[in-house]
Amino acid sequence: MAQYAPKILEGTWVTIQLAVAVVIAGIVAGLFLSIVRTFRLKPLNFVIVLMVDVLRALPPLVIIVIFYFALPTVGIRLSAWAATWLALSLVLMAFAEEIFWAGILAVPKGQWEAARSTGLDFLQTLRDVVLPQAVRLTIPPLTNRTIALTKNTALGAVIAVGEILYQAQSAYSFSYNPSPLLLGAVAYLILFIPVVIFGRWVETRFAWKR
Amino acid sequence: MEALIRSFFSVEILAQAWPILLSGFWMTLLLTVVVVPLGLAGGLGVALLSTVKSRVLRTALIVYVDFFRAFPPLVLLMFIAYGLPFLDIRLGAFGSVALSFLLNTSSYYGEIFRAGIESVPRGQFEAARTTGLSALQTMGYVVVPQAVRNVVPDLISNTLEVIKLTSIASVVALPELLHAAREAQSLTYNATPIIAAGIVYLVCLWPLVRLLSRFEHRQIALH
Repeated sequence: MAQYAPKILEGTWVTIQLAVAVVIAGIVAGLFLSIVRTFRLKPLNFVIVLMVDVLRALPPLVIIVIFYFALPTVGIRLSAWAATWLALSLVLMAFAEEIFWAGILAVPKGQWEAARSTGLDFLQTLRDVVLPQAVRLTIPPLTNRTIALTKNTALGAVIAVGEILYQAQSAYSFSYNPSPLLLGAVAYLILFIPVVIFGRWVETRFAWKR
Repeated sequence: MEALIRSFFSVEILAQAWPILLSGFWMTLLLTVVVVPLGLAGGLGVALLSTVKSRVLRTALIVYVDFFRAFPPLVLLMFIAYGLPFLDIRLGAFGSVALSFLLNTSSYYGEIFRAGIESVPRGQFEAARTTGLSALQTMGYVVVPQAVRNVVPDLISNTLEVIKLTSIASVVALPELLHAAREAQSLTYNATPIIAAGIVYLVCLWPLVRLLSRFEHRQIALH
């Protein structure tokens, strides 16, 4: 079993990098889109809603496969890592945008009006008054989504991104011995059990009353 | 533009790939109607068991739920499909998918049902018991129906995720929609089948996405 450990460790590092890159890109892009949506420009909002819906209706693995196998036929070549990162970031972006937008809508209209009447301009109102309240509401659903998405990094194994599952799988098919699979599973547990417990804590800490 | 149409939306290729895609679609549908009810039943079981007043049982269920929520579903599937045969447990592709989905989705559905049961006021339970209903009848006729109604949006949301997740069955060579599309793509050297599969998912799941988006806005607005 020990001989496979370095490979799995290497994979763990790739999984962590991929997950962090997806979380940052997805949440930043989602927040950006939800802010763009507050300008209420009809054609732009239509495009955003359409994009978000498509990204929520397609299975992430299908998006990864399209990026990796279909885009090269029209001359767009992405590395396996980049294809996985881009696909998962877009999916997280879509979920984050919906959640932030719902949060922004939940802030009472009076807050906007009161802030504007004190002399704040639109952007100041958004940044200093509305977003801080909106983001607080969005923390539990956003945390859950984000955790679920980081686990999708394992889908990268399908197009040979060298993360934990891929390392475990290739060591397994090389040796025809199940211990790399077991080791990979343990690596996932060590990585994600704290994350799941953190999610549970966030859920109770920021719980909304139904 | 022409190159794009030739590689993504070729009618000839689609005509060739159609039979494979169609059989893939039926397999995805079959998987969905097997896996979703299994997960719902498993989840309801987990939630009902965690209402039993036994600390040992409750801790065991929390461990079960967190354990299977920590595993990426694809990892669980690989483990069951390639690891279990070493213990002489051979389930085949469909069986492996069904088992891994049962373990994974019953944890998620279980958490949702548990939240639903907790949202039903305690007085409902007590009032039902004083009318002479047994604990089981109280659960079945009074608590669970209200609990389910309170978590319908979450149940739909999770079901959407489960349907999308059936695409990972392609990895263990179960010939569902994505697997069929990949196969057709490698036979025709053209990306049209993959794009077509994407469009099929989109057409089938879009109504669900729209419905959910409505629910979610209402939910956060009423926080």
